[in-house]
Amino acid sequence: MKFIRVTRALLAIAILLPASSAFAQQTSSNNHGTAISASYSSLREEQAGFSYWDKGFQADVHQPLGRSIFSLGLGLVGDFSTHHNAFYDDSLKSYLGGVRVTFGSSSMIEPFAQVLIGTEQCCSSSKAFAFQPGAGINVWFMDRIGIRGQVDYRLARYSTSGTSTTYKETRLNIGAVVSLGKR
Amino acid sequence: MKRLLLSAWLVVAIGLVAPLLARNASIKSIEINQAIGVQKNGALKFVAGKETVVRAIMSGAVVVDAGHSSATVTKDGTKVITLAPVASASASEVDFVCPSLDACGKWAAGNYVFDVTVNGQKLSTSGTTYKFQERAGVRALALPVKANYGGVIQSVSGDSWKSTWTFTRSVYPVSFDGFTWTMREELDASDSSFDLETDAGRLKLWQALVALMPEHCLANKKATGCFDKIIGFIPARPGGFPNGNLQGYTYGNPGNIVVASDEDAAATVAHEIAHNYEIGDAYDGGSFNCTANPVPDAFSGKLFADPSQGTKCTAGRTQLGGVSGTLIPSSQHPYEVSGRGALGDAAEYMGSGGKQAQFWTTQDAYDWLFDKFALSSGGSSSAAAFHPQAGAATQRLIEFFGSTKPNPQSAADITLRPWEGFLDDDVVTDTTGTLMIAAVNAAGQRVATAALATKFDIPGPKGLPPAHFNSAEFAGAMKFPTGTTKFQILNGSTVIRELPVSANTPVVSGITMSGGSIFNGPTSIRWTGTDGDGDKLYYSIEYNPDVTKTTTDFEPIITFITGTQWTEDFSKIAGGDHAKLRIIATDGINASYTDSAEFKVPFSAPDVSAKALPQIAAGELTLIATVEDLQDGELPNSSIVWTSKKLGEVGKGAELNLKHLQTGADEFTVTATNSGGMKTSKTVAVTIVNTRIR
Repeated sequence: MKFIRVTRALLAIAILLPASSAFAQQTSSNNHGTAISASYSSLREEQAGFSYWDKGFQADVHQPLGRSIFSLGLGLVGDFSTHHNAFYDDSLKSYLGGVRVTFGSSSMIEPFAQVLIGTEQCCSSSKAFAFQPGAGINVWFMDRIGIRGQVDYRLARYSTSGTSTTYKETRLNIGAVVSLGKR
Repeated sequence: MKRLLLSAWLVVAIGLVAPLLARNASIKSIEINQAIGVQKNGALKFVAGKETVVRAIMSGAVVVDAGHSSATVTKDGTKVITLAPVASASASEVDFVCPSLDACGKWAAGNYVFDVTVNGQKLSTSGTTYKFQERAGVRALALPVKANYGGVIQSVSGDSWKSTWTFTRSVYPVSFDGFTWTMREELDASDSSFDLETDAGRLKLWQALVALMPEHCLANKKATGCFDKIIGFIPARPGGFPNGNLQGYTYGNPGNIVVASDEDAAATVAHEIAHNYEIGDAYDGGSFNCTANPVPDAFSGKLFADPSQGTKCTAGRTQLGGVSGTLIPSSQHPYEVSGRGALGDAAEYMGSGGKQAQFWTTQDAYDWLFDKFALSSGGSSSAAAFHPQAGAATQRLIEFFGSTKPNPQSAADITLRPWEGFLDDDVVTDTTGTLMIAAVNAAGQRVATAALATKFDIPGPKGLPPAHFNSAEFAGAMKFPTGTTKFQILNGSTVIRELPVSANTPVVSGITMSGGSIFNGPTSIRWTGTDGDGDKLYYSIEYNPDVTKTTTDFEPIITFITGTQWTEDFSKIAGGDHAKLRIIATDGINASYTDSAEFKVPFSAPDVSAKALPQIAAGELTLIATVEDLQDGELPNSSIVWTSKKLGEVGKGAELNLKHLQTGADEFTVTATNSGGMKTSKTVAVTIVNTRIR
């Protein structure tokens, strides 16, 4: 529960920060602005010995912190995704927040890595603690518009009737990214 | 930030280790279950060819990790299959079911070892003998009856009676193919002489059913084409129609009358057949066999072997609440493989007064029947040979039919129906008893004898006390040696009745059928019969759909009529390209027959019903087709094809287990095709609901 509270706090920060993007831009050392992305997403999950590729949607908000370490940009991320499992006719939803590190952010090609935590909701009611490291790449073919490819690996830990099970999931995203601030 | 990341990694580490600890329940035992998991006195009696579930009995409830759970089946040292667990959210028993009989090698006879893993915990049956043994089968003939209830004529409506047999196959220790259920066209018993509201009418219907047993079966009950039971399904309960009190009745083997509309008709079929094997009633007031299947101690009844004596059982059995029947506690693991799965408390099918879903088999009945069905001692062997057409007839026999009052003293105490001499290669040996028939030659010597087995007290209709009759039916076959001049019925040394053997054998000839050489509807059949002695003649008609096949035989259509004309509706009997009729004429002792010319009867389409069993696991569905074909009997699996509206063809066979079906509505159609190319399709609509808990 403690970590869910932390996640919510991070999400709130990531969502609220764009409103204060002027502050971010003023302190940025690498011209990053707030960026939002929306992607088609596919999630590989396993259940009862079978694996599924669930189809869905992913969106995130990235707010640079305006600081860098060894030329790596640091930022906060809020991430939401939903995937439909056709076999069970239900959905997996995730609400995650965390830290993103960007590389070479001044160029057209912008790789990044991130670590997110939060909750995953399955089957309408069950909720799990989720930990999701991942990496991706933004290709800025216009000043503020780019495309994104991303791979994430998620560990979701559910507790039911006193027993706990950790599910391992892989998420693939491809979509568009828009920078709200000046790059 | 550093602190946050550290905490996240710590949680992940805990998350990876904790599930291993939570899934740590161990396997207490492995149970092999074909109907009842905990067998009588710990026995391990398994039937080869019978549907089987492998169960891991856990020390506590577990969430099954399918990726680390399996059951490997090994027969005689060779691996047969590795089974996946049946998905369940949480259970103390983890079940492993074959996707099909074929996938598990049809559970062929042999010694099995089961190696089971549940969430990484392992247990093996190695060191304990799990021997799957061949058992004899059971053969039943079933047909609907057009019945007369005090002048009200009714036929059986619906097809529910057709599938009543599957319950018997489930609860008996017989293989999947070991229960033969042959269905026939409706028996017309609408004549007032069959009035089921009268004793005489009920008796006459029973006699008509018994007469459907092929004649050679009296000489060899295990021969091909013979039946252990002939069941006539009537539409409603007699004994006060339309609110009658008889759930069926019998005057003895092999005939039974069952009410098709009774909700528990399937249990009644199992009940009545079980009486053949000395299984007693299990309802209060019934006929008890405390050795075979002890009933609740609180029940009182009559001895199965001698219903004139009262008895109670003292084996400690109890009653299922609300049902007059022996309790099968859930702790003995009653289980319906390919059906409802694990069952709760139930009542033995020999009981009465319960719903169909409440009946199952006790340890006692299963154990008793398993022994009875040993190939050398009971049941029916499909391999038994009978070749009446093979020209190998070695002796003359005679079928005898009649009834007697207890301890008969005069001819008036004996009622005879026409007897019939015939040639056969089955060996019939002489038997003797107080009451018997003797074949006597001109010198007055007894050249053959047959003891008469008579029962005046038999188990009553289900739910009722044993029935006592003032006359007992007898039937059988005995030797009819050359030179026999008369038959005597003796009670001790007293000759009660004599039947002279006339000098001449009847002659029957000139079979004519109206309408050409292809018959597919009501057809008039005529013949002529003469007898040099001028005796009254009785005729029986038999039909063989294809005389060129060894798999078909002449089977009775009607027996002992006195006219020389009969109308048969060929649209309701098996088709064939080389069909023949046989008319048998008897003067009461001597008999002869003649065959018609070959003719054709168009094939009729198979009779098909389809159902889907209740879904017991995510994505899994069991489809059941009941297919009967007048020509081919049971169709091979390859002739029964299932298609899905969404998926196309999904498999073949009378029973199909599908896995990994997506949530949603679908329609599954089964199409059965017989050897004549005739098809019948039936569709069952199914909504798959897959739910999961994380």
